[in-house]
Amino acid sequence: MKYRAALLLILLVLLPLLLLGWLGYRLQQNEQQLVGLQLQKLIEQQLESVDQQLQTHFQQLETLLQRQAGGLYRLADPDYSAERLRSFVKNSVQVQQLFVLGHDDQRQFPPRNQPLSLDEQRLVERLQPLWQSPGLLRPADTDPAAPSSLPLAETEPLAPSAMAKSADYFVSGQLAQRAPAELSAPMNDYAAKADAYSQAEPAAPAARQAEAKAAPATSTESGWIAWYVDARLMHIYWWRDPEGRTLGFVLNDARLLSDLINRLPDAGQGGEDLGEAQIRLLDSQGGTLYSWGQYRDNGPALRSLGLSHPLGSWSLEYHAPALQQAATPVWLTLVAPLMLLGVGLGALGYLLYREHRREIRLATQRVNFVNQVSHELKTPLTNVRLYAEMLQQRLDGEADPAVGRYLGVITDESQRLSRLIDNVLSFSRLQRQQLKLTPENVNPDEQIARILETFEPLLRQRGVEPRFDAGIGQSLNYDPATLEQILNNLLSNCEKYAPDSGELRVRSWLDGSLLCIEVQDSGPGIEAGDRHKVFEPFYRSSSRLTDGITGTGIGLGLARDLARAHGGDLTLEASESGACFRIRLETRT
Amino acid sequence: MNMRNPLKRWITSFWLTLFCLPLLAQAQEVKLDLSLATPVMAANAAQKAFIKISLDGFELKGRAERTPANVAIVLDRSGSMGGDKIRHAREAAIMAIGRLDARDIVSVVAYDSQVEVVVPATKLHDREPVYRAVRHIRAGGNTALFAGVSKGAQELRKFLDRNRVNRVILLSDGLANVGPQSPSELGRLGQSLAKEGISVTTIGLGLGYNEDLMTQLAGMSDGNHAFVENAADLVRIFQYEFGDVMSVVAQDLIIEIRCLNGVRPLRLLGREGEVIGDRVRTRLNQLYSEQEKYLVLEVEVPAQEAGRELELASVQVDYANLATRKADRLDGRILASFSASAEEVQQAVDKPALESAVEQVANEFSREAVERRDQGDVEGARSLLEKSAEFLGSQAQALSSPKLEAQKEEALQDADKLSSEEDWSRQRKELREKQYKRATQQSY
Repeated sequence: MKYRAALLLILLVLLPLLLLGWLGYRLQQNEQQLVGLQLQKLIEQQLESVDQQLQTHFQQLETLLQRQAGGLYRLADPDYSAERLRSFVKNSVQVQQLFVLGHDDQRQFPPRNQPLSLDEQRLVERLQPLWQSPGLLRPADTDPAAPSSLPLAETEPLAPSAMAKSADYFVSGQLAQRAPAELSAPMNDYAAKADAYSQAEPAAPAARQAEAKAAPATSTESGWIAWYVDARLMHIYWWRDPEGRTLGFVLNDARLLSDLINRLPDAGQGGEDLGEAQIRLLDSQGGTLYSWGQYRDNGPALRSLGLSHPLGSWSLEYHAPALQQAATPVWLTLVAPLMLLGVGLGALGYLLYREHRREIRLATQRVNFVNQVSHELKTPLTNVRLYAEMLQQRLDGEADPAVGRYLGVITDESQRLSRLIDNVLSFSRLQRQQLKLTPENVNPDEQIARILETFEPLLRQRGVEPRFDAGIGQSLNYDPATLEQILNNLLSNCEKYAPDSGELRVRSWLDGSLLCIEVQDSGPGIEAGDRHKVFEPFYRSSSRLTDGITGTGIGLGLARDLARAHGGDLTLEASESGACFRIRLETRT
Repeated sequence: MNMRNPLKRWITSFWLTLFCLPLLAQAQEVKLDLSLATPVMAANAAQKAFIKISLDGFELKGRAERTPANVAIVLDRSGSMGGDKIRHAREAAIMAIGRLDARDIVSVVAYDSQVEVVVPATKLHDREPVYRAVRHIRAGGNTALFAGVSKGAQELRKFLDRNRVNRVILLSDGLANVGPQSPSELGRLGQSLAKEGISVTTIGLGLGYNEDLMTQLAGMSDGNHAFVENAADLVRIFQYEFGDVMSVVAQDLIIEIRCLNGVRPLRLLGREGEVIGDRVRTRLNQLYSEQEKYLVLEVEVPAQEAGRELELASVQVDYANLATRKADRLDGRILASFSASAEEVQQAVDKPALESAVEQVANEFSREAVERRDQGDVEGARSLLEKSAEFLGSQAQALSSPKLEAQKEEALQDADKLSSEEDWSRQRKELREKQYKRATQQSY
């Protein structure tokens, strides 16, 4: 009881807090997930656009090489002259080496029966297995988009992530088709410059023009081969001339990487583009080839993307601060208002609790006051009664009958007042659980008769005729004061609420160890709706002062509490007319 | 008559110019000098011979005449460059840029883990913003050397012009640890850049860099290489380098040697070249004013009868003359005669040519010694250098050449240094630098 109010208040504060907190958390989680997804999507797009840029390089390179290959073909007469091819290699910035295979896949360049340079010898050694795998440069499927991976040893088309055995990496295929509009200027300009400087190809410009015209018609076979050999990634672009010979351009790997790097932003530009993030270009071993963006920490990548053919073994990684970290301030924005709310509610709860405590204290003070007052009243009242009774004895039979009547009224009223005070005191004792029973060996029938006798004049006056059916006839061990107080309350109620009702029946009997007393009047009875309420303290079945009925409203409740304290009960029994109360008291102690 | 007069005048002037052309060109032309170390050879025996192909840059008339430069300065700003090093590097760059003028184009790239184009390629009209940007370079991070060179070259490409001196000047003090890092990969990049007419000068600072990588990159693109131990010397080196850049008189020299009459080319000393059958091709990216660059080709000459004269090889040099802005071609032949008399052979020796040949052969020994030392064979390396010193000593005496004598002393010192375990990193860098300079006749 003492802590219930506090507990309730705490619950009142905590419940909404928890609820709000949980809801807020869920909301935040959802939002974070959404943001995370969007971010992932954005990152992916960014990486894809980088891949696209690198692809564009290959597209442009392809256009350039195709044109140069066309130029070489035009100068072939009818065989490719070794001199011309060598001078091409000498002047080509992107191409490290060149080979030509005849339509029977036999090597034509580097020439078979002539001395070779060291580089050429190395090339022949390295590419021998490539040339010997039949059909490699003549892929059966003409699906241009899908890079076909032809097993040289037992290689599979490896995902970039599974590039552990990078030594076996080998992929052949074509570039993904793209709108020709993208394959625009820079590389072509550069190619023109490079051609202009190559003195060994005087006829090149003319040839190029011719090729440019013929280009759409002669969509001859060509493709890219990416091959990991001798711990280095080799890129070969092959092109089939109209006579079925294959020109293979072996790219300068360092130059290729350099060109690719030059397509990517530098630290300044990258920092502006990416902000607090970093994109890394990784080779097949996972080593960083190039990176840009301000974020410098080494952690797991937020996202990685394998590049398209012919850079299939490489990948891009996106690094940025982890999402959780980014969300910390958001988490704070959730916690801070919750804390504020909690503090507010707590303060409110505390105020309410304090108010409540004060009220309780006030009430206790009031009860104490009433108690005190009652005690103070009790002594003079006893004296009034005592002297009135003494006076009545002295005057017995001598005086004016009116004096006797006056004295009777004084006695009655003082008795009533003392009952009232007893009620109040008992009530407050019950409240403080200080009620003490003092059982005595008494005959209840006699006691009941005596009480009825005391009430008789009063009841008669109000038109009620009490009748007692005694059914016990023996002494029992119980607290007579309690019984008296209960009966007093019932009888005074009867006197108040059932005037002029005629007979009031009081019956007593013994039910086992229970002393039972039934009080039944013939008054208006108690309405069904009020049956439970009559026992509640301070309830009066008719509160209207105009009824002229006085009372404190604690009588019945107190009576029942007393009966219960005595191990019994006071119940309202169903009856056809009037109210019927049954008292039960435990007599076995 | 009236009608013919102007025509005649035209013709006269035409002839006049035609006559004058060689005269004009004489002054503004690269000089090709072919010599054989042993112009008279012993008869009736197959033997080796050294052909020296020497190219002399003509004199630039004055500062105003010089070829405009297109320079990208690529600075390492990795963590190891912190403190004095980066400060000196900034100073050196600023001082060097100070020597350029409004004709020139400059760009500055700084790299650590990433690459930043600090100053995009720009004409030097206004220096202050360039200086300011350079002064803002701070050190910290890894070494993305490959990407740094790539971006530097990309800046050059914005104004790439064969009539300019296109050069990347790379300064690094550490090992490349982001991106490609092997000497061969950087070499291939250098090779490709050389084809565009870009050369890369590499300056190694301190003892942390990879000298093989730096010399490969410089060698393949025919730039200079320098080892700078003390950052305070950077200013001086940059000054030398820019001096070289501003004195280029010819570019894209393609040298083709065709061996005749059964003569077989064996090796090109000091420089990279391509040998296909009886032909040797190599290229120099540039030739500096009043400076000699030479190649020494070792050939095998089949046995000949005494008294016979034989054409050993013909040489053809194509190059871009920056003074006339034209493509020029030089050619020449090398003849040898054969005699049975040893004395005659001895007397006919071409001393400068033999001297150069001996210098380069000894240089090859020195390279080999470093390689052996790398494999852990300290003794082998030492004995190789001692052998080289002996060879140098005997030749110095025969030719009474103080230059070879000095080289002999150097070889002996190197042999000592080689065996010392401590300080090998510095010795190796010094050796590599020395070999490189000797092989390419670097001016500083």
